[in-house]
Amino acid sequence: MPIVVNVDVMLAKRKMSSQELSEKVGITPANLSILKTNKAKAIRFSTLEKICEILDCKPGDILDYEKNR
Amino acid sequence: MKILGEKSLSSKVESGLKVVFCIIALATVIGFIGCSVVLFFDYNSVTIIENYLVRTILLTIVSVVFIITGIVALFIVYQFIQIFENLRKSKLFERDNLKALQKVSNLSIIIGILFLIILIIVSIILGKYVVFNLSSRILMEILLITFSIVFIVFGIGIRVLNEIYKKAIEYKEENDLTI
Repeated sequence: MPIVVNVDVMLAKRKMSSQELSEKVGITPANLSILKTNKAKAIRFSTLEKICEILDCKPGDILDYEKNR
Repeated sequence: MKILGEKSLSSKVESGLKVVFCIIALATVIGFIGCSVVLFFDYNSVTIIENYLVRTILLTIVSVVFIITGIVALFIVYQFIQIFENLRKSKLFERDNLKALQKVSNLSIIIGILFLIILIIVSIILGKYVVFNLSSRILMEILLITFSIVFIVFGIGIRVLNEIYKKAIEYKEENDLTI
């Protein structure tokens, strides 16, 4: 899929662990791992909203579009 | 009544299917032995066909059809046993079930086509050499046509259901991968 999720980059910038993020967002670590490994097929707006809120960023900082991927 | 899980309808159907599997296996073996006995020991009393060659061909066709239909039916029942085993374990949207249903549909279409071929052989080739009683011949042809249509329609029906099931599995996977 050409849509790439860059949550780990943002996590590194904010110096936050995956465990902490999943706890704050309210998703399981397994689901966060699916998101980070680009296996996810869709993301709910509510989840995206919470991630943006906690990481203090915009959706564009987490999601990227790469052609021919 | 519970349909899925242990001690439910599907677990009972599964054990019933295992009994059916044994019965079909037994019937296939008995049918094959019966045909072979008639074929090799040349019982004139069983068949009223004068021509030895035609009788041999007829009996060979019957025994081969018996064996093939029996084995294919065993495969179909085995696939159903697997599907119901998954239902008992509450594994609903599994790719294994999809494959099993696909096999069932293919095999029933094969049985239907087999009966159609037998119908053609019996009515055209053997009809020339063997003097059948007219009413018994019509009865046999109607029986063969009915069997063939039933199996082909069953196969096509299962194929259509399989497509729906495939879509359901795709939606379920998509839902699982929505975060």
